[in-house]
Amino acid sequence: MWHVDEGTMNAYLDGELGDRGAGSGERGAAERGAGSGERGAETVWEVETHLASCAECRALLERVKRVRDRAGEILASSSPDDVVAPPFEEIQARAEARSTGSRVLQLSRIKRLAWAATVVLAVAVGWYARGTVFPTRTEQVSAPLAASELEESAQSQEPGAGSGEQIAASGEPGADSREQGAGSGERGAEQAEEGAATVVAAELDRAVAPADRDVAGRGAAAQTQTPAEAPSTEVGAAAPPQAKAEPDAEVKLRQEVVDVSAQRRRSDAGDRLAAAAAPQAVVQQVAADEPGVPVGGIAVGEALMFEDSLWIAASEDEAQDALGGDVPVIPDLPVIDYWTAPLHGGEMVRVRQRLDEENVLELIVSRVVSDVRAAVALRGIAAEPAENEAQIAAKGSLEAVAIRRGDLRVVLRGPVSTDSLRVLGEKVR
Amino acid sequence: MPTDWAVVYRETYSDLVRFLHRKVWDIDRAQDLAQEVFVRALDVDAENPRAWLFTVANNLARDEARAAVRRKKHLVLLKGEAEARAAGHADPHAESVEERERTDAVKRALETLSDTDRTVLLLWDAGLNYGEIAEQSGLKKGAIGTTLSRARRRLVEAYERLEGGHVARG
Repeated sequence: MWHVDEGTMNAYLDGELGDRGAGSGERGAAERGAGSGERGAETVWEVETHLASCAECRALLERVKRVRDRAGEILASSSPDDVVAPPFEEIQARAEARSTGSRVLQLSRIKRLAWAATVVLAVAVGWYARGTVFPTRTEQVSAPLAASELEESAQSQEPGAGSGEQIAASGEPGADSREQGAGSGERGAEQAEEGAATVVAAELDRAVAPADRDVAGRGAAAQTQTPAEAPSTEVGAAAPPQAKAEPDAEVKLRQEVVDVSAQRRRSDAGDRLAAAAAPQAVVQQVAADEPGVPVGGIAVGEALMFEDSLWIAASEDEAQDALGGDVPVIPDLPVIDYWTAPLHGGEMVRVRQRLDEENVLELIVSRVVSDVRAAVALRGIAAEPAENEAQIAAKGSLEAVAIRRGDLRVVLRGPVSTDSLRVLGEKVR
Repeated sequence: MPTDWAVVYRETYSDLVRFLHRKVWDIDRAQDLAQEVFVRALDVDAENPRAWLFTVANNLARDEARAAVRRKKHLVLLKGEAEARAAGHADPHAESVEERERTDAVKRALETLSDTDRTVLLLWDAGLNYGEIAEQSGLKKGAIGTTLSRARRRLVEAYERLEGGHVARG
């Protein structure tokens, strides 16, 4: 004689067995109880017919029912009381708000992309101009042109540019042409192009901050000479009176421009862009706002900038060099690695420290003078309010807080609550 | 025909909260998650709305549990274990020690079940039928009765054991 199994009993009690002939039974006979003396009933009718004639299965039914009821009681004892659903309109409003926020974020991304495209274009122009401007001025010096022609050329390229171009015209012929690899014989054929390039250079200089432009302009001239190669008599022969009257200033300028050039060479493309594409006033304005930035969360734009930055693996020494001093870390947490990335006016350093086997904490450190917020503005990423941390979290499930340590700004990011990050932040040394 | 989420919301919200509560054991968080599920649902035209809701709820509860483990771990790290334990037990909805102990016993009894048994049991308790549970759990519909039977029996046994131990200690 076959019997009904416990699973079928449960299905029967749960009202999950099909009615007679409905064909919606829970399981076929072959599926259940094979070899156990049990047989499946596919319908309520089959089960009830069997129960009517089988005392054993009736007893089993009682046991199953007791267990089922007891399990229900146990679960019910931990059920929350009085669950009241908020009005459906609230849910709709939240969904609508989220949808709007998503659109805003999307728009923000489009703006970022537009900025990025602008930046790329500016970098390209800057790169081209950088490689062209200085040789052009140098070649003006090295070419066997009459002093009057040179002077005229300099004046026409940048009227009122001051002594810089004029000094450039007075440089010793051939002195820098060797450095630049541009022979004087090529001069004539390239004259028109160089003139255009010089105009581009002048435009670029105007785009750069005025102070920087002055140094660069004067520096271009000084770069063409060394003291040994540019005797004062030759300078005097071609230079206008004001240049001749300021030989010490010229040397000083030369030194300045060497510094500037070296600095520029060290900078990466993004950094040059930041200097060339952004008005200095904007930088100063943003930087001036910085002291008022409280310790707290970080802006969405800043988080995105961290994501976008070009991080390069570094040693601890390199990280220290980048920051100009010791890199703050949280004592007692092992340091995994150091990274550096360019930031307007300097570099920022990222230190990864291990919290435990699974979790890693990041410290992103920058000098306040080269604060990331300035870079955020320069890159055109809206510095949105910090309260929108959900968006930051969505970016990488990381919480973030910013703290100050002296003239350093440290952003802590990690998969822990902001409260925990703040406590960790207090440990930063 | 598009889903009428307003109707589904009225009919399912409390079931969803109950289900989530037994996953996260915090009624406020359970309600937050339930609302989050519906917020996400409004952009979806689900073939089986209830099944969809419980799938999303289950995923959210799982993520929540992981996040809770991380949070707890670091709170313990930062604030001291004793303080964190005290905070962890501070449930404003547990009105009495007895209720709290009962809830704790249910929680521990459920934890003795396998993931599959627990999920099937909680989905049934949340009001899903066998077909929906099968869709949700990946089991065959014909196996749900057997799984439920086992889950119920184990829950009762574990709970009685815990209660018995409690009485014996008390």
